[in-house]
Formats: sequence, structure tokens, C-alpha cells
Amino acid sequence: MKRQSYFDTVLLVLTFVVMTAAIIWALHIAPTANVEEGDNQRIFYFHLGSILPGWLAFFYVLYASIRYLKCRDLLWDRRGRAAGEAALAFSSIVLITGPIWGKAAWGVFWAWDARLTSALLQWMIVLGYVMLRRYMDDEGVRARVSSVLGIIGASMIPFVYMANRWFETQHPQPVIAGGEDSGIKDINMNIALLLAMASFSLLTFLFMRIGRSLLSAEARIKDIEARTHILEEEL
Amino acid sequence: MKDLIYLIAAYTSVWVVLALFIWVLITRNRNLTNQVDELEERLALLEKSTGG
Repeated sequence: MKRQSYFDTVLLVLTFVVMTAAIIWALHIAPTANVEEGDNQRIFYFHLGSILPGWLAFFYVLYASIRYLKCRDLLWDRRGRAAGEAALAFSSIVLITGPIWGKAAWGVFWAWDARLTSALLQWMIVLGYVMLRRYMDDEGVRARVSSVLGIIGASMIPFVYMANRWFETQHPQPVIAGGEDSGIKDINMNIALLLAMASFSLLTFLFMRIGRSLLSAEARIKDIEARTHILEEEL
Repeated sequence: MKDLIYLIAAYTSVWVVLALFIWVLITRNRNLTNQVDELEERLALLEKSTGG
């Protein structure tokens, strides 16, 4: 327990340091990529930086959902839920910063292209994954339905990732692994992006650990409450 | 300054979402503490009634 708390403290300090460096690099050190957009282009670092942790959390939802369906242990449902909540937070950041950047770059907030629409659909699925639990009392049914929804949502990641490669989209072509002309040429822009990705990934990991521990405590309290109730009835 | 409005809006939204998420975790933690308090009271009553 003491070791776990020490690990969380180290994780928190590390996240803070990397996050501070990311902000400094993104807002001050990295140059602006093009004159037209000016400083608004700097939205890119935290927009793209949120996608990776969101998807990492989603992959964990997929893993936890499969584990739950296989062994029906509610521990995996709780782990999946904690990851799903982190995925919702970072997907929300992507969906909010994207249209703001879109307005600055294209003059419109939204375009119903394959990339944006599939990302919105995936966000709605993860929102459903988190919110549906409030409306289901039976733990087993809730965990089963959530697991199926989690698998569907995570299965969409390859499509969302490939959407702007397969279809003509308003969304720009991929910056990473997008063909011969893709990739960031400036070293400081690369550092800013990597720092943003690293800081949000650390934050996701921290959120998942905290969420998981709170959900486990919640389950234990529920169990103690039920046992206390039985004792009260007996007396 | 007008040019920076989108940059400010985007970075503000990042911190608002993260703050909301942390607020949800804090609320959940507070609810758990309240539940533990309530359980302690019930246990104390049980101990009293059993003479323990």
C-alpha cells in the first residue's frame, strides 16, 4: 500500500514536470509551422497529444472487456470503467480542440467528413459506455453490456485512424506515417509534440490508477454495507 | 490578440475538461468518505446493542 502511494506520488510529480515542459515547448520554443495560421497552429500539439492517450485508454477498455467476458470477474469491469472514463476525457479534448483549430485553419468549426464523423461516433460510444452504467442496477448485466459496447468502441480505432487515408477529408492528411511528405521537419516541433503526448499519457495512467482505486473502494464499501445490513437484521 | 483567440480557447478547454474530470474523482472520493462515516456510525450502534 505504501509502495503504491509512493509510486502514485512519483507519477504525479513526473506528470507535472513533463506537462510543464510540454507547455513551454508548445507555446514558446517550437516555431509556428505556417504564416497563415500563425500561433493558432500551436493547438496542434495538445490536439494530437490527446489522441494517443485516449486511444491507449480505449485499448485498455478492449482488453478489460475481453477479460471480463472471459472470466466474469467484476474487477475487470471496474478496470475497464476507469479506463473508459479517462478515454472519454481525452476524446472530449480532441473533439473540442479540433473544431476550434478547424475554425482557425479552415474557417469552419465542423465538416461531416469520414474522420470527424467517425471520431464523433466513437466519442458517443465511449460516452454511452460511461453513462449507461448509471441506468442499470444489475451488476452482471451492466458489466456485460458495457463490455460489448467497449469492444465496439475500441474496434473503431483503426477506422478512425485510417479514415483520412482511405477517404478525401477536410481533416488534414496524417502528420505521422502518412506517406512521403508526412512528418514534422523541425526538431523543436517534434519535441513539443512528444512532450504533449508523454504528459497526457502519464496523466491517463494516473487517472486510470486513481479511478480504479476509487471504484474498488466503492465495491468494498458496498459489500461491507450489505454485511452490516444483515447483522442489523439479525439483532 | 484577436489572432490568439482560438489558441486561448483551445488551451482553456483542455484545462476545463481536465479540471472537470478531477472534480468528478474528488466528488466520488467525498461520497466514499461519507459512506464510510455512515458505516462507522452503524457499526458503533451495533456494538452498543451487543454490548461489545
